[in-house]
Amino acid sequence: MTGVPALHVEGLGKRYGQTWALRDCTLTIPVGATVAVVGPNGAGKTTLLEAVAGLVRPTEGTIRVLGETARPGSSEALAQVGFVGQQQPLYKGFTVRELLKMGRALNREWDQLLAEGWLAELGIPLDRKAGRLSGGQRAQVALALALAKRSPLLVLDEPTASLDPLVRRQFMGEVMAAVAEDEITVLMSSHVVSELGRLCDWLVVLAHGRLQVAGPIDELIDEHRLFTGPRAGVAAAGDADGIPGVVNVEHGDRYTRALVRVGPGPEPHPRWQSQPVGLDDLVLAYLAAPAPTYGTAPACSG
Amino acid sequence: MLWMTWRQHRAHLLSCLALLAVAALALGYDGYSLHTQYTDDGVGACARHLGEGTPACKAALRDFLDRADVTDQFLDWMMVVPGVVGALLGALLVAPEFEQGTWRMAWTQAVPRTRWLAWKLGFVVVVAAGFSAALAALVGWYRAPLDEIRPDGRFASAGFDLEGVVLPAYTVFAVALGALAGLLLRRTVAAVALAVGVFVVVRLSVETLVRPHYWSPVSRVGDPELAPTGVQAGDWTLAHGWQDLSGRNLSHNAYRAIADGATPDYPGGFAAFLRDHGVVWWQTYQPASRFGAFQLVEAGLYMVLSAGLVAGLFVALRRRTG
Repeated sequence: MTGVPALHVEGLGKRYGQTWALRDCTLTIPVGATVAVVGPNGAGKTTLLEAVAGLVRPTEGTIRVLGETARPGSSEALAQVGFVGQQQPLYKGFTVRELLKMGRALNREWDQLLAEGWLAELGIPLDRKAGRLSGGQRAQVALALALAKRSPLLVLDEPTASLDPLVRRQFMGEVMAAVAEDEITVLMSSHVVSELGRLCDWLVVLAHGRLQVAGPIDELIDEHRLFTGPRAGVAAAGDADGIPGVVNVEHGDRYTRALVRVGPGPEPHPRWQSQPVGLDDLVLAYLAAPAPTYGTAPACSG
Repeated sequence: MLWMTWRQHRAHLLSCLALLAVAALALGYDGYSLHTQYTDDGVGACARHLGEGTPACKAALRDFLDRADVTDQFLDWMMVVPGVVGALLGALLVAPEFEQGTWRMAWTQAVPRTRWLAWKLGFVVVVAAGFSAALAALVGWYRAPLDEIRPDGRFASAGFDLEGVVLPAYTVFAVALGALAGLLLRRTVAAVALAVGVFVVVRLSVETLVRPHYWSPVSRVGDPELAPTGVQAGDWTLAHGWQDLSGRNLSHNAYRAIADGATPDYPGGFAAFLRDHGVVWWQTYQPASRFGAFQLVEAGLYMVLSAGLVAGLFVALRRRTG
């Protein structure tokens, strides 16, 4: 794999009026990664993805796709990113064939065979008007349009939010099949953590417009431990928040559980019971964590 | 982008053509009868030789002018046509993309959004200008007899606003208003309403406050016999009244004080009475020959306004969602 990352975001911030939708976001994603961007509504997911796609002009910071510094919004920059927005809106009056024609007319590179083959395989008639497609079919057409651009980076904003569970599963399977063959890097957001965990190999957690954690899922799982100890013990030790690397602390009636990012080397809390974490626990802990103070920048190199 | 522009806006072109066809039918039908009445009744000749006109001639002229009043009232309503058509065409450029959420799709293809808008705006401006130029030609033909005999001629509101190059300029201005409002409000209906509102305010302000001053008006003083129907047809009268031999304007009361002294049997009639009492008639006006220049100045004014709006449109496009 080359040294040039698929996506490098540096100090990205976007302010609407007085409110920062996203701030201080620094992120490096390697080529071929499948990235799950998770967080509650309003966490800044859409802002991040739309900034990468060139739809949102950042208030501060830079975005580089494959090391390129093409001016955001320029033809070169737009060609680098295939984008499917929330709800996958299409031009209702266009037939599917006309939508493909639009894609061919408005893009530098266009793989008509790929798009047609994809839609034929799914049984979506080209003469059907977009307004008469089902939600699942709309999502497929939107995806076909994005894939046929042959962009090295594919950005999907809540691609399955409007789909029912069965279609959702099928759709995600197809996304993975489509990107598996080429070295396409995928960035997709969702608030269904379990769905993405199975499919993605990279995780980005956003909350309150801040990046909470980012990294390869394997490594993140390895680096985090769940410590459990008697509540009294914690009280005696002062405060669990004092433990270095602690992400989130949960106090039960008798026990206290702390999710901690441990460094390499011996575990620092021998008195506590240590367990490995699951992806859901990890994400939930970061989402529940208080807004970070960033004494140290979150490590998120990939 | 050519195909995309055509695909998205061909319906608007066809609607304009349909509207034009309706206007052509209506104006053609009524215009044919108007022109026939004008020539068959000899209205033009009567108007040119009013002094020696026969009673029949005067009656024909009066009938025709009554009809012309109705016609002009109808044409006055057409003033809003360029505003509404232009505002609609402009608002439909960007606002529906926001309403249907398709802007995310439109602006993530490999065409920069400024180029995307330039194509669409260019197409719609050509459609709007072509539509209104054809409409202007149509009204110009229709109103030709009225222009010959009405005191203000082509300078009358229904003539000046609907017959010349100003009509395409108004329409392009309305397109620019609609497009900018559509981008800022992101709602088609609201954008059309705002654009039409601003259009009407600007149009009426320019017509009443600015247009008379494009060129210094001319003044003339004349024999009472001429007043007020002796005005040369086609001149645009800005003001008129009475003055005494020293050139002082007479107030209405001063004039009445003199005029009330007239007796029905005064030798030579009322005009002679005024003449003998040192009263002359005055007028300031824009000569008919300035029509073309006035059209160009006003069209130019609207083109400058439109250019400003379009510049604002592109700045807003880069900034607003950028």
